[in-house]
Amino acid sequence: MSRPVYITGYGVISAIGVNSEENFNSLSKGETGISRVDFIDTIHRDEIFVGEIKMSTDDLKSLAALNQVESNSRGAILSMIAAKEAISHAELSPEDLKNCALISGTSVGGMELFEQGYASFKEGSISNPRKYFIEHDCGNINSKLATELGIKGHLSTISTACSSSANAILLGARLIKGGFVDVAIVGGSDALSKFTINGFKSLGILDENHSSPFDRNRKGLNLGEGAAYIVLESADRCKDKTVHAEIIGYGNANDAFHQTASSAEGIGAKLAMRQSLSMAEMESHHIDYINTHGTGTDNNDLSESISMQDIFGEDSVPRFNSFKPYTGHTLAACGAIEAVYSIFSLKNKILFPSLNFKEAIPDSGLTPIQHVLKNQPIHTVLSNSFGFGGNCTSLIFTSKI
Amino acid sequence: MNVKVTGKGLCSPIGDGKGSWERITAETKWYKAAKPDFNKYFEPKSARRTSNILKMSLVAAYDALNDNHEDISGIMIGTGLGCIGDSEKFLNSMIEFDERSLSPTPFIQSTHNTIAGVIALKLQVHQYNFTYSDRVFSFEWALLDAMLQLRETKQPKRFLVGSADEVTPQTHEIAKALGIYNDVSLENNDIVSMKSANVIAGEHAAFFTVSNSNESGVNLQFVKMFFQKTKRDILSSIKIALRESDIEEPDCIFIGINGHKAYDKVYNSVLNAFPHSDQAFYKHLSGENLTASSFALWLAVDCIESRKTPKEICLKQAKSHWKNALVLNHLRNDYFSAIFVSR
Repeated sequence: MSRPVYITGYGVISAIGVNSEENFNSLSKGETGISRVDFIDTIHRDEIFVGEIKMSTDDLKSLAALNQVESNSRGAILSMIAAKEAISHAELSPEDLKNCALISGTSVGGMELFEQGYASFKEGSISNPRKYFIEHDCGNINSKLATELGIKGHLSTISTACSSSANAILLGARLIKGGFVDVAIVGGSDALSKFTINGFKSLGILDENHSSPFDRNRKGLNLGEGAAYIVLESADRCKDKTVHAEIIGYGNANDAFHQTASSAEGIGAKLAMRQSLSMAEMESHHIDYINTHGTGTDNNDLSESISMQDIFGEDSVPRFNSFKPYTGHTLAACGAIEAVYSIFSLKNKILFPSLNFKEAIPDSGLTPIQHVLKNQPIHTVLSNSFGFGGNCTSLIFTSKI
Repeated sequence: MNVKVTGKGLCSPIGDGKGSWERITAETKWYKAAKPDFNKYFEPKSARRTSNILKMSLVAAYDALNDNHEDISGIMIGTGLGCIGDSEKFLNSMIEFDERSLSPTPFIQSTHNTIAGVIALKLQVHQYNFTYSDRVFSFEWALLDAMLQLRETKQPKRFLVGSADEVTPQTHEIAKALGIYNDVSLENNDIVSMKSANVIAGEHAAFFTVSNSNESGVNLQFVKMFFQKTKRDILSSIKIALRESDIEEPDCIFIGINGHKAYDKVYNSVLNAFPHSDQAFYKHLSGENLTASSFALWLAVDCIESRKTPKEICLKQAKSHWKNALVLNHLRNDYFSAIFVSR
């Protein structure tokens, strides 16, 4: 069985907006969401820049308008905001929701809440451990989401670091293709936390200024937070529905090189891109645009550049950008957030600039998109997401349906 | 196409499962996994840098592969809480050193997909690499993912599928504060008589090779997950799935009772529907964790292969051996899973 997989709805919240419209507008204006830290109690707040959503968790909770569940986890609340937008956008019925698959990606789950209670727990002075600890596992997000939305179908959570939500999309597409489900709500979420800020700080890969992916003088990444969900449906359900794009290819592979770093030649990245192209039955020249992982670290951007040149030809790499300078690196959420941005490009025939780029990496000579480009013949997009543990995922979206 | 479990490895409170099925670790507050024989496969000097959950996983994975490291088409792993030992270590150092000059190693190893990533690195598996973390569905998804992919393809393929969960002192204290687990004590060491007040935590890693080739093995018939479904829906779905495998009643049902009086009743509707099935239990050996069903699957496959019905796990036994087994697990009424294997 092999059925086409259509995207019929999407929702997103990030540092550049609390819904799709706001995100689209910020991208169109080239407006970044990168700022200093306001909502996390860290000593690094004045040394680093982040893509933080400028709302307290309580305010986000009001925005999420929770009816069926209580939650204090910023990550879970972000998920609910994005998933609710996606579901209403796709006009799913309560019956659709009951039987669909819900697949989320997250890397740290409720860590941001957990770490707030942890120190006082160790000192023995915590009064309400439930509030801080009961929501810490990755599965919490789906449990809250499913209960809030009335989903009783198939729940799955993927935790493959920064490719988590890209893999959620991959799995959802495969389940629909194979006839396992007809509808899948897929995406992911990560909230900023002291844990991840210190983790990336200890790795020495946080840029102290705004990140500049693919620039020769890039100094590292800015962390971010956010969530995005997209609704996937089998084509046969979509006769009378607005279809925004189709997923025609995907691939997941492992670099098997180093726990955190990418191999110089991008073995895993190339395998993932090749698999997705071969599944889409496409030659590399069919790709109109690449939505790169482009974190802004020395290692990722060089390795990704070389792998793109290997696949597309040294001088024929399609136009590409990185969205990390807008939202920061939203870890597990970036694959889904950038999938929504890919759909923006496909629907509106617009390409968004990669911010902060000045000079190409000498070894590649590649220059990302630098200005907003309108009325572009964009039909097919390849989107990359790579993570720790060598995890590499590529997705191909098309508007040619 | 038949999907089979063709190899298996275990690191658990009963060790690698090759001896008698009794807990062999000293009683602590929870059921600790026996120290795996790490040096059997790896440089002793790397042991110090390898975390508890990674050691358990690596040894169980290598045991499952049984020296055949070729042609692995992918790695699927489920973990309920991931590498919490390293998360705890990094959090502790953040507090102790006030966020300054931290070693990145525990942060790197804290990621849930560390296990799948490290195994891919050691075995140089560049293919598919997924880590699931959705409470008691974590291992089930790893298994289902492999099963669906093997059924979809005509090529012979083999996946490494596993699960791991560990317990650490601090997270155990937190789980106690949340009322999830209790320390081991005389009262709660007997989960069958339902005398216990609460649940004992445990840790283990269980790995399997799952294949659609002609190799011998135990057939993986179905993996079912139910979220917030009624008992009636669960039972009817299990019955239909069994019938599709030409089975009216399972030879043995592995029940995930853990001593929690209220929740342990969840299994009754399934048990009552199959009055002639033998019954086995497993959490008195493994303890409870979010991937306990992988431990049960290891036991079930071993029983089917070796035609034994060990008294250590039997609650009700009339059959001389089991040709098939239904493995059940559940969490707080919301999550219920069923795995069915047969010869």
